[in-house]
Amino acid sequence: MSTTGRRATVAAVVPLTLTLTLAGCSTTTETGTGAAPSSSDGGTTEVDTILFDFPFTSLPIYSVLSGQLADYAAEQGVTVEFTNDNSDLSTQVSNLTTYLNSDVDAVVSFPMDPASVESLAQQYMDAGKYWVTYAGDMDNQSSTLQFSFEESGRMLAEDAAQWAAENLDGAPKVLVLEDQLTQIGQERTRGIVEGLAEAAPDAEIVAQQQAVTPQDALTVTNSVLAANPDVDIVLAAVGDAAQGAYQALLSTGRAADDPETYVGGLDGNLSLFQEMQKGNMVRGVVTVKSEDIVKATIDIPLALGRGEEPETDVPVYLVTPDSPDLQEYITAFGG
Amino acid sequence: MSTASPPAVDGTEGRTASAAPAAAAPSPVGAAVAWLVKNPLVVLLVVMVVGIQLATGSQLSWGNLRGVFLDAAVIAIVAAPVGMLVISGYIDLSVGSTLALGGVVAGKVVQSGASPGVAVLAAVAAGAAVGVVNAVLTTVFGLSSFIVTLGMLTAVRGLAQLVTPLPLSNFGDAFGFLGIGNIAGIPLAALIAVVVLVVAGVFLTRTPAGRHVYAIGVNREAAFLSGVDVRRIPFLLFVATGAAAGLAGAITVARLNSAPASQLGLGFELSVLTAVLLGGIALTGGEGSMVGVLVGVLFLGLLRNGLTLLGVPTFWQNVASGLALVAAVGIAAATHLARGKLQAREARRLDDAPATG
Repeated sequence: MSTTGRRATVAAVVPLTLTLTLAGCSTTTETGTGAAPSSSDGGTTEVDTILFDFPFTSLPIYSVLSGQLADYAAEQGVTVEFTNDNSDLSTQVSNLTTYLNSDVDAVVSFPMDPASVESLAQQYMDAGKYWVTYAGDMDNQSSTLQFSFEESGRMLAEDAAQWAAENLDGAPKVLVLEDQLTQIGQERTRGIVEGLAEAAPDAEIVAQQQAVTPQDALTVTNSVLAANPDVDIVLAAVGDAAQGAYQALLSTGRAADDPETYVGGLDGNLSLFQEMQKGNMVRGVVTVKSEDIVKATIDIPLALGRGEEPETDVPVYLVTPDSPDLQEYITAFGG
Repeated sequence: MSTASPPAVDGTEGRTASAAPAAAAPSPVGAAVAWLVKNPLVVLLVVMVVGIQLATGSQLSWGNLRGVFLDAAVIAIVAAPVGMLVISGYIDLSVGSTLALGGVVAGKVVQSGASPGVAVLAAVAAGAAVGVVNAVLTTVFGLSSFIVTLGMLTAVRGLAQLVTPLPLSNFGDAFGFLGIGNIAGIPLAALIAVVVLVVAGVFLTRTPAGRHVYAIGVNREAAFLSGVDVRRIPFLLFVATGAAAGLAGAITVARLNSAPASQLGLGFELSVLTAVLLGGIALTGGEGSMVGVLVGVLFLGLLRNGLTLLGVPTFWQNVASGLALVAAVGIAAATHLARGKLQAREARRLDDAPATG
């Protein structure tokens, strides 16, 4: 990880207004994939250095990706650099502004709010650099790396609905741990809620509460269980929150392998995978494979540099106790 | 900040009562009214809990209270020494990251096969080490505690992330007992918090060093000229705060059965500071009590819990929570003024009373 030491210093002044718009343009609209090369003269630029701008540095997946990215980039003969946005939009904008004048040839950016970085994307492209939007689409981009957040939520909800139909008598009571503070969280939450309404129309969502970290989820789930001790299903828009909910359920006296409880979340999480492997009540996790993300992050800019049409879709997977590759996920997340 | 007198052990500030001759003591009703005026948050707390209980029927269930106490315990363990630091005129904003560091150190140690006791000691030591750095920079080199601990908030977070970039998890039942275990039906973490608060309260009210904490907070130069060691006491309070944050980290990790360095204790410093200020400890130093800290911690925990029980939507929870906290502090400030008037009237009454010998 020699590149991790080369963090840029934050130097630019960020317009405050950029931090205020967290409204939702969909990340799953028509893509600009295969659009003209980024350089303004229509030519191609050889890619030697790629900037990976993943703002949610607190997520376990970030540590997994950053390690694997450095290794895969070295294999491909390119250098990868990392921003440290600390889950903060203004910091993300500031870091991207700083790197605009660096020698990076391409940026793979996960915009916390696409509208806020549209002008930056245009500036990168005007400067002859490639802009690849991670997990979505923007008006200004060279290409995109796609996996649907809403579909992820829907997949989890459908699995929970199917489990409820097979294992519960009567309508299930559901706690949804949402994330309304980010666009991806909103889309995931929408996928969960709408997917549940379609797959299990008789299910009752007894509470829909904000929780992203394990601590938040622990506190919130404790409170919800006090008022609704008969909750059957907990679905979390962020996997780490599912972990907190699982601990809350245990602390209220439920057996770890309670056959009438379903806990599921989005994003891989080592602890959840391990509990799932033990046969406990963690029954569904929807996630991407880190190696898929890593390859796409490097391969898409390289393909653009060669003037080729890149493959842009990264699949999401539902991991259940029956998944044959469950151990692979555990290993990938450090277990 | 009008006085350096410490509070009585019951949490009242006690300077007028201690000064009053026994023969001129106010009636029990008057004393109760005076106590409530001095502790308005207690009234608000009772009103809030009764209201939420009537609306939901579940806030006072033991299962719910147990969860609230577990949350509150972690805040209280750190709020007690932070409260003393604020009374002495300093502040520690690094406790959230120190909690994370303590948590990941405890997780790392327990996963190495060490006993839970050793893991807890390691967490406390890690936290104390952070406290030593804060203390040296602040009390020896004279740097602003606000700036130093704000910087340490970021630096220590990075350190915790370096210790374990990926979350550790599954620490076993023995270590988990620290987080969710009960003794005589009471959560162990809550018992630890009670012990910390009692020790802090006794220290503040029953020891010369505790009285010096107030003296330093009111006027450091005057305290120095009076022979108070104005460096050593804050130094030790910084170390105690770091150690407490490390302990809180171990408890949190034991409860979560996971140690995500990037997520542990996010915003924790603000929760602690909010509880401390709600409890009547003046940010300008020299005033406050551990009873106030306890009430502030419970108010904060029960308010958040109540909003969830009431099913208040996420964004409205933020609005309601913020407004409630501002209102609580406003009422406390108003009663502070009223208290001053009451004290002035009491002083006049004593002056007018005939001498008894």
